[in-house]
Amino acid sequence: MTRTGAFPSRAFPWLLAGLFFSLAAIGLIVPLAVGVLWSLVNPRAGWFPPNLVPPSLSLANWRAMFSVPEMGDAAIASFTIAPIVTVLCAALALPTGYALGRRPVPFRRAIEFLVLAPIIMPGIVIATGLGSVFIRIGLEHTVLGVVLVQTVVVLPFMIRIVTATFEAVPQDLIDAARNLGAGPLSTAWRVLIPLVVPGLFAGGVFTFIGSMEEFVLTFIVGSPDVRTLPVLLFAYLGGRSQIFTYAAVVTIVLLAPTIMFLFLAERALKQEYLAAGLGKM
Amino acid sequence: MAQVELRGVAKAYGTTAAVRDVHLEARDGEFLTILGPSGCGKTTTLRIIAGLLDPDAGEVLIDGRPVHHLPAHRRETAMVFQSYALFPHMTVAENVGFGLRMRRVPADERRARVAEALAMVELDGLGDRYPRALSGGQQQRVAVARAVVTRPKVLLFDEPLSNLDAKLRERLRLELRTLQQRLRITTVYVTHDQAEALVLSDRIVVMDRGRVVEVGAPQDVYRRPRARVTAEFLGIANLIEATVAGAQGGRYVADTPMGRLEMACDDRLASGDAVTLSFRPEDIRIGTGGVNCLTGTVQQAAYLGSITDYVISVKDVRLRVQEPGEPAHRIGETVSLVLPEGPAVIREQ
Amino acid sequence: MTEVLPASPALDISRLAARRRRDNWINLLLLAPGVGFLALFLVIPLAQVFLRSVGLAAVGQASRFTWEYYRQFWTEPQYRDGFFFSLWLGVASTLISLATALLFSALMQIRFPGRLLVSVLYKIPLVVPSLVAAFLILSLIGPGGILARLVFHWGWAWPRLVYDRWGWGVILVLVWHNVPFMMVIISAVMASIPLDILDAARNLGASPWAVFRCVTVPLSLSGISAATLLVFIQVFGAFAVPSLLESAYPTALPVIMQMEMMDHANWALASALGAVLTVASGLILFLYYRLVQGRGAGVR
Repeated sequence: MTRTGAFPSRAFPWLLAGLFFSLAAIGLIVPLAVGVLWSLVNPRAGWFPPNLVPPSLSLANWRAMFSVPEMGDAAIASFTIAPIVTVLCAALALPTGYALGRRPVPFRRAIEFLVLAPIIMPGIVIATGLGSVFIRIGLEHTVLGVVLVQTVVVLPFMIRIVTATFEAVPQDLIDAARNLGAGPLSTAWRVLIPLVVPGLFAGGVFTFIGSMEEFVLTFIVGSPDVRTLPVLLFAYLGGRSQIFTYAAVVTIVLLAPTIMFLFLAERALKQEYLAAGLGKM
Repeated sequence: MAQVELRGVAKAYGTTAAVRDVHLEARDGEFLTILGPSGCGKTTTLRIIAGLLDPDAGEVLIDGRPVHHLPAHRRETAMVFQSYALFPHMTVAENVGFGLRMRRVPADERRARVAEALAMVELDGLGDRYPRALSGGQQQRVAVARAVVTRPKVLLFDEPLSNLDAKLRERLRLELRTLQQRLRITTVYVTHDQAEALVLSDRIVVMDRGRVVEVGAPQDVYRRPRARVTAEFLGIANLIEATVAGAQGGRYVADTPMGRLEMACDDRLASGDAVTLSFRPEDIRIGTGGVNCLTGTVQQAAYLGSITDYVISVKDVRLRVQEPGEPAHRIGETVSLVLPEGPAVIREQ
Repeated sequence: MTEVLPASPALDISRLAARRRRDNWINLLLLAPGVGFLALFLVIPLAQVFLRSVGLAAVGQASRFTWEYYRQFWTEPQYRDGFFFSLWLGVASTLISLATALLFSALMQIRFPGRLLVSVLYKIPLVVPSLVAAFLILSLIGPGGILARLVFHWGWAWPRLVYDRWGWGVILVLVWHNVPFMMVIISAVMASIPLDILDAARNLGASPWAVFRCVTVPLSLSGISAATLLVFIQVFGAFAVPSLLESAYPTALPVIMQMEMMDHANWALASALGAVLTVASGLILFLYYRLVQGRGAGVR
């Protein structure tokens, strides 16, 4: 339904559109464009002030992805660890989500608080606690250590989303299946699981993105032996040697899959899962 | 205390026309009901009066002055919603006082008027409760109080009783009528329940598929519908196609699939006119002795407590007939029917 | 004639108990993987942090109970200032993000051309890691950034926005990152308000601003407070962005912790600082729950 006469002028919606698109241009498109430009800077010419555009472009930095071992290694690390973390989270979250979503569970509030805790606690504190423990048991600087540590901070999201998904399955459907003769396993397989898959997908997206982006814990537990893309990026951006060109390449490699995921997921995701998983505490 | 007029109002959603060329008038202090099946455009019309929707064409006038350029919050209309739309985060008193707060009425006067409004709907003392602690009927009354307390020029009701059970509905509609008569605020009431329309209204506007079909007082609209839709929608109607065979001084003879019938009619009909006759089931008598006597077979008999509803077939026509009391005739029985001489005559195509 | 039902048999207590025991076993089995994992990898490290902060379970030296490290935190200016700097970052970022997100969420409820596209675009910063955001914003507003170069062309000087004492560069990046996050939550909550209620408010004389103030915001409070809490705690404990964009002094507490851990191997002090961070965050969480409980009676 159209809203009427609420605003002084009919041009208001156009003003709004103008505002939002200008903001998007300045806040999103310009920075991204500048980032892309940095990745294409010719290393021999550089891009120094006062040049507004790089004097010459080249793909040298991108070729460096393959020739500079640390970049290739970081990419492999990121794209290997993220799926592992996602699968691990799914495996851990499925039974948890089912229990929390469909069964009366004692100490529910305590469990919910525990599930919430890794999101609430500052990552640096978790890293402080786990870092030294991992040193002692030899998981420091290993892929397994990084996988475990990332799972800690990413699992709560998966659990919350999967729980919300399980909760949302109407009991009527389960009852109807049982009434029509399906045993508990059959009901689970044919009715419950198919209805939960979209939530699993949503959680998977979140988890994958979360793992790709995770920095603090990976930095403290993994580096310098295991470096993911974010950790490499930090190295290129901090301290004395700021290598914007390499940073830009890593940025784009990091961003491309996640932005793609976002567009895809916007279609497949149901808004309710997001709000349910994150909106109410 | 105002007159509402709609001239040529139209509104479409995409390619579907919800409301087409609607001309409507509610007189000062009148209780006007817009009646029609779902999808007929009655709620759209109401929301256009309230300013919650913009018409594509036409004018809305209150007291003769155009208001369709005024935004919703500046028109002096107050609406009671089907869902009541009470603010869940405010108490009953705060809900009722909201309109007054928006009009910057000082707090003391606001408190007094809220108390007065609550007393009017018999909810005194419940001011501090939250809407979720009230029953459906009580919530509905809060919605009414909230609307009337602002002393609007026009009161609008969007099927306010449809979420309540039958007994409550009956009781509340009488209360609504009494309230309106006391306050004499021009009221436009939308419903699909024809009993409500008949009980509450000074006049009924029948709408169908976006158009105004007929306007009239309850009795006129029920006894002498001028359109098929009206006859079908208000109560049960036996609609019989007929061709006028002869006419003489106010009395006519018509050929119907059931046979030849005699009737009296106010309008002037000529031989050869094609009309539809509308007979109310309660007007058809099972028995003998009358001008229009027919024989039929009982197909169904439904016992409804105070009356029995029969379906009786005469030749190929199935008639609904209602007789008071318990079923007196069995299925398959042959009975004699007497049709009244004054059915409604509908002259449209 | 209606039938009369026979009396029900006595309850079988032992069967109920057996069923309850079985239920508990199943619950345990189901919850063990997820909850067990978190308990292990969260509770134990947390315990370690608190233990080490008072000198026990020491790494690389003898353990003995002491408040030494807390005292260090409070008396030495760099640590104390670091705490307040992190607090400042949290408050400033959260307030600015909240105001912006509220305004934008409200505006997004209105239909305007291109709204669908905007609703996808504004979510992009959500998937941009804060590190990347730091880089992108740095290349935009940093001392050698594109805007500085643009402004230089016209003969003006570009203000110092990063590596500054108040951390405005850090705050800007964090706001850029968190406004979409808040918007997602707040928009969802705002959109769930029944349209009838908004119509009723307008019908009763509320201007669009009054509708926003008196109806939309109060009914969105659960989402708003949840979003605010999450953002504050995240910013308060943020490491990456402050590390990259802050000035040499003051530094945010998490950055100090990392330096103590990795450069000085001073696990005990880092743990003390971590404990302070955790307790402060916990306190805020506690206050939040108290506020929400108090308000809970009025909303839904």
